[in-house]
Amino acid sequence: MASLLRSQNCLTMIDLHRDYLRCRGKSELAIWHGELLRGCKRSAIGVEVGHVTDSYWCPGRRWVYHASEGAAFAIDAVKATLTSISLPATALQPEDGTVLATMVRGCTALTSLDVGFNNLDERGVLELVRAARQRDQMVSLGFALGSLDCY
Amino acid sequence: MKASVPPVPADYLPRPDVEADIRAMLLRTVGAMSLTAGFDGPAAGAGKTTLAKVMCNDSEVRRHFSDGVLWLPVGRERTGDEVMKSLAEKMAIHVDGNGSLLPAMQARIAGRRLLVVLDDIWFSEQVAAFVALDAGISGLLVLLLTTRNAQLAATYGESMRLQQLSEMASLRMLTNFLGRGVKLGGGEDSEALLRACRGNVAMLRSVANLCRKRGVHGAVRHLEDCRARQIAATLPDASEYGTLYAALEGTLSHLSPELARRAAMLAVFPEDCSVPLSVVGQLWGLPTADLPTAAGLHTAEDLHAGVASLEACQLIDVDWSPQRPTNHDSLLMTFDHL
Repeated sequence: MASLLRSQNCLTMIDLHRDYLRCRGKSELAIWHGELLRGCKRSAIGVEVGHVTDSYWCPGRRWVYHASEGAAFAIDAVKATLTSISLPATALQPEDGTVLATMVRGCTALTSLDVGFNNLDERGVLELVRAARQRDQMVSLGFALGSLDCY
Repeated sequence: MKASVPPVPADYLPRPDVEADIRAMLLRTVGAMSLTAGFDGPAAGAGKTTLAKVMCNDSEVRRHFSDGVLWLPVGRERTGDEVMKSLAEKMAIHVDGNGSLLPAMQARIAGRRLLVVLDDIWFSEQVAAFVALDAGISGLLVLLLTTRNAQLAATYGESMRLQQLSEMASLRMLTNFLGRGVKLGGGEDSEALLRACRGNVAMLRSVANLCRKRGVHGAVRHLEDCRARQIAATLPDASEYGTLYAALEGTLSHLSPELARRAAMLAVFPEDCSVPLSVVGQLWGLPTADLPTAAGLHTAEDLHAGVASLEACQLIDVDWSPQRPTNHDSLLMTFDHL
């Protein structure tokens, strides 16, 4: 049975069934997103850890999606354990800047953030910078060649 | 680079006339065409995606698009830019920040004969980036769009508007979905089921599943009960899918409350996403050897049993074959030469 977990057997859902399940679980969806982030036990986002789940988690957009949908529950799930967010060139969109800034503000152990080469807008980048400065413990910040071309 | 386009579902019942019409339209198209629903009622579940899969696996279509077929799931949550970037990564085209992908993509597809399927388009923005692609004078690049939005479909070339199945075709399809285990018979029950399904393929499939669980008469009673108590109507967005949602509700009611809850939890995964079972285990709280123990599930057998039960109810599809990890599960394609 261990091979089940080590293999890459996958499930898929047709979107109609997913729509139905989303309706059914509406009030708990955010909680479940948080539980998934807690369950994945990742302290470094966008970094391979040599686990079979890397294929799901390493494309960083997935993590941002769950963080966005989980809102406060997502922050609560990772606030004490998240140390690094490395999401360069992952097609982050302007709205993702706000999500990540909220995460940065809430995560007490975070020391490294790289969101370079993305499509963040001025507002998102500024929010991220403010959030990072507020904690005053970041040792690495990357905003290289994004839409604002700033460091 | 080689992979496969999505296969035709095993329980697909051929629709020769419709397939011939779509094939003919596809083979004469230069630019883009679309598949959409052409009737009042739920546009979802009309068979757009399935028929697109049939076309991708059709030998005549494959000969026509001799350099390859690309299948790109889109859905509500992806931007055109994201889909384009995932395609570029798959084609090993370097993405450097704000640099435009278009020239590199153009160079790669120039002179080739390609079919690109954009499945489940919701917004014109999702198509715009692809419309700009051009295979040049000696090549051919055709976009095949599937969309619930008939207005959007009409914007991009010819549009094949799928009709509801006739009563006879619905009966054949329901019988096919039921298989040999359940006898539909005639009479009021089967007429009631066909009325409820309104010629919609997804509803027929779901109702067939309900019949396997409860029997034909039991399924009719359940749907009537759901309608009377307006169970499905209490769910947001349910008005369009009343019967389908009622049938799914009936399917879940056969599961234990815990398994029904775990099924609902799967809604957290993104659209058109192939999810490793190990990640499902993380969602459900499964402990693994190299990850700290979480509350909830106790063994990997729980995961296996839960997933198998949901598959048996046809709520999910599972690929049990051994696979190599990939970071590109949102993109399926077959390219021999790129």
